[in-house]
Amino acid sequence: MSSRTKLITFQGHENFRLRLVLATLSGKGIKIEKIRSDDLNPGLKDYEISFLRLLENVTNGSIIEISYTGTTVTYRPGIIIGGSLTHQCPEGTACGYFIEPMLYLAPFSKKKFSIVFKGLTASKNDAGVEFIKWGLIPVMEKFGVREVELHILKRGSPPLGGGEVHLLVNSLIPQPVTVHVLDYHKISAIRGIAYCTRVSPSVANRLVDSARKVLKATGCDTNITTDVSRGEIAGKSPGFGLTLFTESKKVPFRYVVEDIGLAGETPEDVGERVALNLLERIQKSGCLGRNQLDLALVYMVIGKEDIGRLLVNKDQFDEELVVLLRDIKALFGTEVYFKQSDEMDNSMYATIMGVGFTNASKKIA
Amino acid sequence: IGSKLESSGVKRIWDINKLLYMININPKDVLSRWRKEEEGLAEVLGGSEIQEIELEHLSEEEQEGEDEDFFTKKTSSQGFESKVSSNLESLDTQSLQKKWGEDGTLLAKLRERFFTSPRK
Repeated sequence: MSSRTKLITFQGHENFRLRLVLATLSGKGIKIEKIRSDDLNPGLKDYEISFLRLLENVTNGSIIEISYTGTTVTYRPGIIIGGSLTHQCPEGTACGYFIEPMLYLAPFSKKKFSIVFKGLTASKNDAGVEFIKWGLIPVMEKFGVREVELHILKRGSPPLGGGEVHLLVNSLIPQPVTVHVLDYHKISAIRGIAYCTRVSPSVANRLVDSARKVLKATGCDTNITTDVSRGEIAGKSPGFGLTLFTESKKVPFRYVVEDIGLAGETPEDVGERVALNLLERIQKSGCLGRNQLDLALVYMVIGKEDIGRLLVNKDQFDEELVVLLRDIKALFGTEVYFKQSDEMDNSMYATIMGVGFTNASKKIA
Repeated sequence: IGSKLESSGVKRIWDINKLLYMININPKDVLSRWRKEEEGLAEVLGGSEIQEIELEHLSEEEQEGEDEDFFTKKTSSQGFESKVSSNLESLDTQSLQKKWGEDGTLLAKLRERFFTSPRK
């Protein structure tokens, strides 16, 4: 990209990863300024710099400039090349923070993505690997991106981590397919994984029991498996967590919730909390959960020049979504149109015209 | 809904599709203005009497904002932490217990809406 090309300017640290991802997909240079400029500790955080390094590694020809104070970043994207690499995630930030944006880029790469992420496999703030595995990869499948695998080699609980995850994206496609999901899918079963590292194996069973107690009232088949990590594959810190997700026969989409236990919390507290949150998530979701919606919307935007539609819930509108939609317009020039559903209360159809994006490497082939 | 609104004489000012892209209105205000109107509309459509919805009017600046060129216009700083996972809902366990435990009707409604073969 020519250095003379005009940069699209954003302000603030909101939506940092997706702005960079969208810039890469659209091939447009961006400038993000006023990053925490009013904070006592201004500028980029270590995890954001780590993400910039990762982005530089999976692309070729990208130019990243960071101002002296770290409050301004200029990014001129190159082409996505992928390849095999290892990424050490900074302390306190889960692998999910870095894996999530890679899912937007990996299918449109020149080479297959094979990245080993080292660090936390679950945390309070970032997406856990189980959520990505059961929540985001099925969304990719629906858009025609198959052969995506996420192997948990070692689990790493906070604070010390020590986990290892291998992301493998074998499917390289020219563009996502157009989707139309206009109804709520019926849930046939609730499944889950209760895991623990460096604690008694009974903790996992206690998580299962407490979650099942809450979910019993739904009358739905509940099947929660346990994963007890021991020895080298258990990371460096003791910890436990639970991921619950729904199964549907017709659509690969699942509603997923997850949480981990903090110091002083009992497995019963966590199990109950996650189960209640699953009910809440189901009630407040459209055809997808809020935590999966961003990926689906971006795939729809970069899809074929055809109209795709997705059922969303009005409760899913939050500030982050507004920022994302504005960023999409700034970088792709396309708007998402929301139409009230006549049949379903509190529901809207998100209608998006794809921009006809094509994978650069596929264009040559 | 559209025809009911027309007959009631109520005009929608805060259409979400317009509000979303009015970059001079910060995201928090976008949602509060939209939700305020949604509540007003629910009253109009559900109640026997047609009530006038209290709506704020666009300031001149805001109206200008709608026509800004997105490729040259800087987006305003929103001031919320984006590194927050939306994996869990904002309600705490006690509120959720109250919501889902005491009110069986809510659970029944959810069961009816989502699950294929509820056991009795």
